[in-house]
Amino acid sequence: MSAEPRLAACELSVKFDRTTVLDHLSVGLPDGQVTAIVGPNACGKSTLLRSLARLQKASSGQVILDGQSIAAQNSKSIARRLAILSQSPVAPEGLTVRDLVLRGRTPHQSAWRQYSVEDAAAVAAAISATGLNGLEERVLDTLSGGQRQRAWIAMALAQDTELLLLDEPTTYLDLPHQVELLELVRKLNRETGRTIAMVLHDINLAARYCDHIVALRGGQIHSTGTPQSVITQNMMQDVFGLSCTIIADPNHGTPHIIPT
Amino acid sequence: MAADSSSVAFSGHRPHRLMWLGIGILAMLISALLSLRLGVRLIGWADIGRALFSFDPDTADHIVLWQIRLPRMVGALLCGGCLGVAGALMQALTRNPLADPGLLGVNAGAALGVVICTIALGLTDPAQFIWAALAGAAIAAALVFALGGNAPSGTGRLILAGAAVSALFYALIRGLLLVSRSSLEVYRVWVLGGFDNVTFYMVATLMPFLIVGLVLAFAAGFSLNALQLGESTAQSLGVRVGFLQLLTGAAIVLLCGTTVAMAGPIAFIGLIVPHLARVTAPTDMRWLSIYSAVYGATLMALADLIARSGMFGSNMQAGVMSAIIGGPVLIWLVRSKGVRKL
Amino acid sequence: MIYTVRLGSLSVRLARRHLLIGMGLLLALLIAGGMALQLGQFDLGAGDLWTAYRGELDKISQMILLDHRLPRVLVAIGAGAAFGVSGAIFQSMLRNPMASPDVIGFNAGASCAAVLAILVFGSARFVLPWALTGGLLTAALVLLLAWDRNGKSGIDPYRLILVGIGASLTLGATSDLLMSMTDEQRAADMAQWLTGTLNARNQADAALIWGGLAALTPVLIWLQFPLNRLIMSDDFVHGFGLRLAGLRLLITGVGVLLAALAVSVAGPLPFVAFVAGPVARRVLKTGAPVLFAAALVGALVTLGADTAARMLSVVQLPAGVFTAVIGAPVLMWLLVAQFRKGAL
Repeated sequence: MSAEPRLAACELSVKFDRTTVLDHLSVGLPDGQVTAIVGPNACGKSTLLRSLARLQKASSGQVILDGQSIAAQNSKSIARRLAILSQSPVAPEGLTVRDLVLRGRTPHQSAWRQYSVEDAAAVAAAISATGLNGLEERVLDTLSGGQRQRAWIAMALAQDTELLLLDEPTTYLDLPHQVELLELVRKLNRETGRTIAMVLHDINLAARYCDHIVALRGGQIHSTGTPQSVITQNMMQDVFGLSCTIIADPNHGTPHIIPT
Repeated sequence: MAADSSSVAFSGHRPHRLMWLGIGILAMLISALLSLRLGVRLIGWADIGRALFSFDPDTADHIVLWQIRLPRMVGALLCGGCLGVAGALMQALTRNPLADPGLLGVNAGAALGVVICTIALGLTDPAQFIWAALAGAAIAAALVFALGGNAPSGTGRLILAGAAVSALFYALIRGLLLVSRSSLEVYRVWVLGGFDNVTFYMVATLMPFLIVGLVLAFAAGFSLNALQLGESTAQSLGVRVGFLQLLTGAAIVLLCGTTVAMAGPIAFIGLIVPHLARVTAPTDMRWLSIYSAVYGATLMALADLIARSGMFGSNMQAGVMSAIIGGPVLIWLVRSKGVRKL
Repeated sequence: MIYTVRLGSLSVRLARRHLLIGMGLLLALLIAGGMALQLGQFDLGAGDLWTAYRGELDKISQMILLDHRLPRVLVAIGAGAAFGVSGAIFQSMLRNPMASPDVIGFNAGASCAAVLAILVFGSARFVLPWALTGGLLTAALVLLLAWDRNGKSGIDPYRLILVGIGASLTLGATSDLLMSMTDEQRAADMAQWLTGTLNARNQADAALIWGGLAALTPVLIWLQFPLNRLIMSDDFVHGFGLRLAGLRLLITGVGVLLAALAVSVAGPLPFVAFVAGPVARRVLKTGAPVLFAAALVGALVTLGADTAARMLSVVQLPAGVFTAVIGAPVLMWLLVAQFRKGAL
C-alpha cells in the first residue's frame, strides 16, 4: 500500500466506564479491498467498527476519514461517504423492502426532496445488485433470514458510499446463506471498487472472501495483512488460544484452519 | 442442586445480615410505640401500659388508645408490611426493579372496585367491598401482565402498560364520582390513602385475606429464587413456571387488594422497600420477603406518624405523602446507573 | 399504488391509500362537526347553519351557534388534533405504542398547576395560563432530568418514560392533596377540570389552540421526514448522518407544546393522545408515524366524546369520561395485537 488509506484509526482508545475496550490502536482499511476484522469474543471488533463509523466516541486518539478527524466532520457529509450496517438490525413493523432501501437515501434527502430521480435510481440499483427484484413490495417481516439480511445490505448500498462497514453480517444465517452473502459482498467490491470492512466470526470464510485481515486481541492489533500472512498457527494460538493446523483450501488455495 | 444451594442460603447466612433484621424489628417496634404515644394529645408511656393491660372504659386516654391509635397502628404496620412483600414479589416475578403495585395498576384496579362499592353502591362494610377490591386488582394485574409481561426488562413496556391501565382506571373512577357531589366528598378524602378510619372490626375482617396472601407469598418464595435465573432455566430446574406465576399473582392481588380496601391506594412503599431489603438481606426470596415486610411496616408507620404530625397541614395522609416523595425517589433510582442491571 | 410528485427540487412520495383514507377521515370530521353544531338542547337544523352563514338567523340561534357551539366544536377539533399529533410524535420517537404524553406524565404538570389556580383564585377563570405554564415547566424539568450527558443520543427514551412517570406520580398526588384542601364547590371545579371538559369554551380558547396548530404545522410537516427515520434504531439514525440529540430535543419540545396547548383549552382529556396514533397507523396499515391521520383521529375522538357528553346531559359528565371509555377498548385491542404477535 502506497498512499494513506481513506479510513484509518490512529492511536484510538475507547473506554466504557473503567474497562478499556480499545487500547491505543492504529489501523487502516486498504482502499478498494475487502477487510475482515477477526478476533475472539469481547476483543473489541465491533467497537472498532463502530468507532470507524463515528457511532462510538473515542476516549483518546482519533479516526481519520479522508485526511481529517471524523469527529470534526459534519455527520451528514460523512454519511455520504461511509455507510454502516449494525449488528442484527430491527426494522419497524410493516416496512416494505423498497421503503427500507429508500431509508438508506437519507443523507441525500431532505424534507423537501424525499424522492428525487437519483434516489429512485439508487434504490433500483441496490435492489437489483442484491437480487431482491420482485420482492420490493414485500413486508420485511415476511422475508426469510437471508433475504432480510440482503435487504439491509441493499439499504446500506443505496446510501451510495465508497466505504461500507458491516458488523457481523452473517450472524444468524446458515452456511449456504453465509456463503451467498459473502459472494455478494465480494461481487460488490469487484464491480464497484467499494472499500468494505466487516466483522466476521468464521476465520475460514474470512480467509476465503477477504483481501485483508485485521486480527484483534484484547483491544490491540495483533497482526494485519493478507490472509496468507496473518492466518498462521502462531496467530491462532496467540489470539484465540487455539492450537490448529493450517492447510491450503483445496479449491481456492486460501488458508484453512483445522483445530487439533 | 438449586434446592441445595438455596436451603444453605436459608439457614447459613452471615450474622451481620441478621443484625439488620434485628435493627429493622427494633425500628418497627419503636415507631409502633411512638404512634401510640403521639397525636393530638400526648399519652404517657405509663398510661399506654395501663391502657393496654388494665383497660379502664372511663379514661379518655384509654378510649383514644383502643378506639383510634391501636387500630391505626396495627393497620399501618399490616399495610406497610404487605405492600413491602407485594413489591418484592412483583419485582421478582417481572424481574423488573421498578415494579410496584402502584405503578403497575394493581392499586388502581382495587381502587375502582372499592369506589364502585363504597361510593356508587353505598356499601360500608369491608367484608362486602373486599371482594370488589380483589376482583379489581386481579383484573388490573391480568391486563398489565398481558400487555407488558413478556417484554424484556429495560424497555419500560411493563411500566408503561401499568401507567396506561392506571390512567384508564383512575379516569373511570373520576367519571363515576362526578355523577354525584356527595360521592366526590367521600372520594377526595379516601384517595389520599390513610389510616384515619381503620377499626379493629375492619382489621379483623381483612386479616384472613392478608394471612392467605402472606402464606402464598412464602410458598412462592422458594421457586421464585429459581425464576431469577430466567424462565427457561427455572423450567429446567423443575419449576412449573405458569403455576408459579399464578401463585405469585394471587399473592400480590390479595395483599394489594386488601391494603387498598383498608387504607386506599398507597404508592411507593412497594417500590422502595425491596431495594432497601436487597441491600441488607440474603438473596433468598423468603428472607427478602421477611425483610421487606419489616422495613415496609416501619416505613408506613413512620409515614403515618409524620403525616399526622400536622407539619404538612391537616389533610396530609400517609398514602399521598409516600406518593409525593415517591416520584423523586423513582427518578433518582432511574438516574442512578445500577437500576437496569438489578 | 404510490404517486411520486416532483416539482423542481421538491419531490415527495404519496401513497394513494393514505390519500384516500386521509380524505375519508377529513370528510367524516366535517360531517361530525356539522352534526355537533346542530345537536344540543336547542335544536338547529342543517338549513340553519346555512342561514347563519349568510347572517340571516334570529338572534338567539345566532348567539347559540356562533358564541357557544362553534367555539366549542372548534376547540374540540383543535385540541383533539393537537393531542393526536402529540401522541403520535412521542410514540414514534420513543418507539413504544404506549408512550403517549398522557401516560408518561406530561399532562400531570398542567393539571397540578390548574388545580392550584382554582385553589388560589376560587374559580376556573384563570386556569389557562397556569396550566400552560405548569405543563411547560414540568416538561422542561422532566427533559432536564432525562437528559443523558454521556451518550450521543441526548434523551434516553427509557429514562424519559420513567422520569415522566415519576413526575406524574408526585404531581398527581399533589393534585389529590390540593383537591382535599378546599371547599365542595372548588373541589367539584377541580374534578371537572381534571377529567377534561369542553364546557363553556369561547372564541379566545379556539383562537389559542388553532393559532398554535397553525404556527406548528410547518414544523410538523418538516418533522415527518426525520421522525420516519427515528423509528429505526439509534445506530441507523447516527449512521444516516442525522443529529439524534438535537432532533429528539426538538421533537419533544414540539410534542410538549402541542400537549400543553391542548390541555390548557380542554383539560387533560385522557387517552386521546394514547389512541390516536395506533388507530391511525392501523387504519393506514403502516408502521410509519402518521401525524396528519393521527390529528384527524384525535379530532374525531374528542369531538365525538364532547358531543356525547353534551347529549347525555341528564348528569353533566365531562368529555374526559367518554374519551376514557373510548380508550378502554383500544387498550384491549393493543393487548390482543400483543398476544397475536407472541403467538407468531
